[in-house]
Amino acid sequence: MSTATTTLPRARGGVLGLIASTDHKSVAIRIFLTGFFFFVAGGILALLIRTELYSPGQQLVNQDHYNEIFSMHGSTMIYLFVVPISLALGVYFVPLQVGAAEIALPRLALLGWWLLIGGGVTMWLGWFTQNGPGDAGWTAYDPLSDATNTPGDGMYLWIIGVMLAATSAALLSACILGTVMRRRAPGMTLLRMPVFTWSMLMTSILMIVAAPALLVAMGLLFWERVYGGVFDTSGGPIQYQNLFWFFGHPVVYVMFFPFVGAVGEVIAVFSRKRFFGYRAHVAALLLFTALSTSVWAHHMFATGQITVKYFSLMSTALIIPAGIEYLDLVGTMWGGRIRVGVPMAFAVGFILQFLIGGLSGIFTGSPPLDYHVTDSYFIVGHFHYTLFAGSLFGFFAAFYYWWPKVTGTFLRTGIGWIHFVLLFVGANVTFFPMFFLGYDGMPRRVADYDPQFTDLNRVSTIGAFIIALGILAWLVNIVVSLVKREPAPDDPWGGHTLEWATSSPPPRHNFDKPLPPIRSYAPLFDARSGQTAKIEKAEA
Amino acid sequence: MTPISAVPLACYAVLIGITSVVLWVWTPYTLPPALLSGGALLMLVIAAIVALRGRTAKPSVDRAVPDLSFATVGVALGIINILVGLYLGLYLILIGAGILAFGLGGWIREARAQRRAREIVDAR
Amino acid sequence: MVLVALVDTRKEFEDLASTYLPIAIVVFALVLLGTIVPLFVFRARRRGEPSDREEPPWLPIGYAAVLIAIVALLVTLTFNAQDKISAKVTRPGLQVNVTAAKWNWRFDYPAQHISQIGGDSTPTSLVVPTGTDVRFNLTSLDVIHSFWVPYVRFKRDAFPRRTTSFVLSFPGVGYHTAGRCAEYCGLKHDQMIFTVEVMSRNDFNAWVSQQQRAQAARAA
Repeated sequence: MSTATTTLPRARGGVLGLIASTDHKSVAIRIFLTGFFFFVAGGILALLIRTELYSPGQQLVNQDHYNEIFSMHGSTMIYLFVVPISLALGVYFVPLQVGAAEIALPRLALLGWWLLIGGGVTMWLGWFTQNGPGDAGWTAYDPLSDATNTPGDGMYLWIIGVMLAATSAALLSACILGTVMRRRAPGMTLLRMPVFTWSMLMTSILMIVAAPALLVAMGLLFWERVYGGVFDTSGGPIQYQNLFWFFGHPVVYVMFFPFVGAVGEVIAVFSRKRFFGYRAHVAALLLFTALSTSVWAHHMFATGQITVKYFSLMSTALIIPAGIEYLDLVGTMWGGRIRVGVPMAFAVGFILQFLIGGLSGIFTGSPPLDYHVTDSYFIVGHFHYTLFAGSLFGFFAAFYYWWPKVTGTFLRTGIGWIHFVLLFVGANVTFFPMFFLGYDGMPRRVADYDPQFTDLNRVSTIGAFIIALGILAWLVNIVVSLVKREPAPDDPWGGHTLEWATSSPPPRHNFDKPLPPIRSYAPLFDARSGQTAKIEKAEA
Repeated sequence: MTPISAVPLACYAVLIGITSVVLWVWTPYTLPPALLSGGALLMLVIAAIVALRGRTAKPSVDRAVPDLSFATVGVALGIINILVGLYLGLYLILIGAGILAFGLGGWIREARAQRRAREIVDAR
Repeated sequence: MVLVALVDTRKEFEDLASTYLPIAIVVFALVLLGTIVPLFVFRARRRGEPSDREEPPWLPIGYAAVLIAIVALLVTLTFNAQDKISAKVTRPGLQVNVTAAKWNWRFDYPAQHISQIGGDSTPTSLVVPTGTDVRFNLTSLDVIHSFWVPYVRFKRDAFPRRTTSFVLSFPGVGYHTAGRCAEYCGLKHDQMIFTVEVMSRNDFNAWVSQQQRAQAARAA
């Protein structure tokens, strides 16, 4: 198939379509653009943090502003960037991968996007208030976040912003869940769904279970600030933490599963092999999801108010599904016929760097170890390895992989490699020193530090600016690729899954021609390699 | 869709049902195991709904969902204004409620139009 | 019940870490090989058709068994260390009541009737004898803080309206080491520091006597 096209996806209805289109592909792109905007905002905050931390003492910002900056950096990146784009990937690709003409509950998806905008704007309006934006960290523990300790409008706006963003995420998850349940094409049984779709199903389950806890926590916090009397018993503050982290742990898997799924697709396609260990992978995902819901109090080991052994056991048990998933990713590469393209580079980067995040996470799953490293820069290094060096690399793998499908054009390879190298170097230079800083005794969320920590902080700051260059390269790639377009065919990579069986970009209702027969989780691979006939004969 | 679609949801619910039972036994605290059991219950209910609807629902037909839905934008702006109004004041809650009413009304109009469109198509 | 000579959190941490860290490095090395080797050996140009055999069913099961064994090992070691750290100490050599408040620390020695109190810009010192179980009773007057002494690899959160107790001992003698607040507590969280001075028991007793005289004189 060589349908060369230079038509970018056009929003139906022009400008009005940008506002109100119910096409899931358009909704997903708009969510991505919104998330991208907040990514840049949150990234600027990160550069401010790293610039201030270049030397001990205060140079750039005072303590008050620093506390606002790091609180808004975390809140923005999690609620307004990574969670939305994780779900946006599913909103775009799950309907295509299951052979559906449309997402389930499309107006709910549109609602989800608008609530995200409302949440982001509300949260950021805090910068314009007298006391500044919510600055109790992205976690907003009581009593720090109550009206006595963090007075002012900004904290209220932050709480409302979080509620809107959480509702947005829950609605988008419902759409994805509904699509998997109700819109699969004939022949697509559950065990023929692609790896990415399974990841998105698990993501949706997590978000739907977790969001109510966050909404309750935020509602109670709001009430506490206005009327008091919610958390002011001796056992009060820990209840907030239980509610918050019951959401807070699953949300980090919401920010992981979509990208491990996308990486799985990229690895399979670029190794020109079917995904290895599909059934084990599905089982592992189910176990992973259940454990992810059951481990949240490992964020609270140092409180002395939880049953540490239970949560340590559950947390350490995460090795089992994670190990199986890693075996499947690596096993897909072995025996394959690998093309080392930019998506593959980011995918391999994800595998290795997320692993560092995961291993440091197992370390912290042991309370005697965690008692030292929690709330230090060790933890900051841990979650930036999983979220930035991990998930964001997985996102870029997905971005380079699926860009031709979404836009009908190619991204430049040369600039893509520059983007990858800069980001790879930058991420490791920024975040690896943090393990040592934490081990050596530097706490987190500090505007200033003991001079003994200066050298490693300087290395980290330099890394942050290398990251910034890498992100710039990415943006340059996007602009260049849109201005001087290289048309892309329907299936530039030899894809395995149904989204490659339609035009690039897909038409309004996704599939203009009949779908190929669906006899496994890799229908296009089967069709190309003559497997379909073999499978059908075996089934007959 | 078939009732089998509910299986992954039910599997997950059973798994965290198990972890919650272990926690009920292991911990002296109440809220943590209650949260886990609550999650299991929620997912069981959703699984049940999916399974039940899977028996009776017709196979997926083309639905006449409108390409543009300004009603949805109205619902969104209504919710946003109500929530922000919880802090900024009653006036904003009322404005939001008004917008929400328009949005919901628009949704009802869209639903009616969808039904009419389906009737026309079915009649053909 | 676990009986220990002294609660030694530093030793438990280092022992446990000396198992966790090598395992992590080995795992990383294996995955590194597992991903980099195929990039060279299984390149598009060199090979023919990719093999497509289904994996043998014993592979994921055997592999899962290995993973479960690793989990069992780590959990066992962790639980043992946890038991030793939280062992019941019926007669600690010293008790110190720690009070955290924005943004400083107060250490009260109830048996000795002396106190160490941090001032507005003056961090305070926690003075302890070496080789002794010290029970700390920790609370906060306002928000959640966290008592962290990196040298002994331990921290515990300080909550308002409740007291949490734990036992630490301080190996070595004759040094200062850093103490930090490790739970974000507002504006001057980064300045909420204290020092830990570890003395020999004789020196500690002398210091206590000296403090008792000084604080009595101040009271007079």
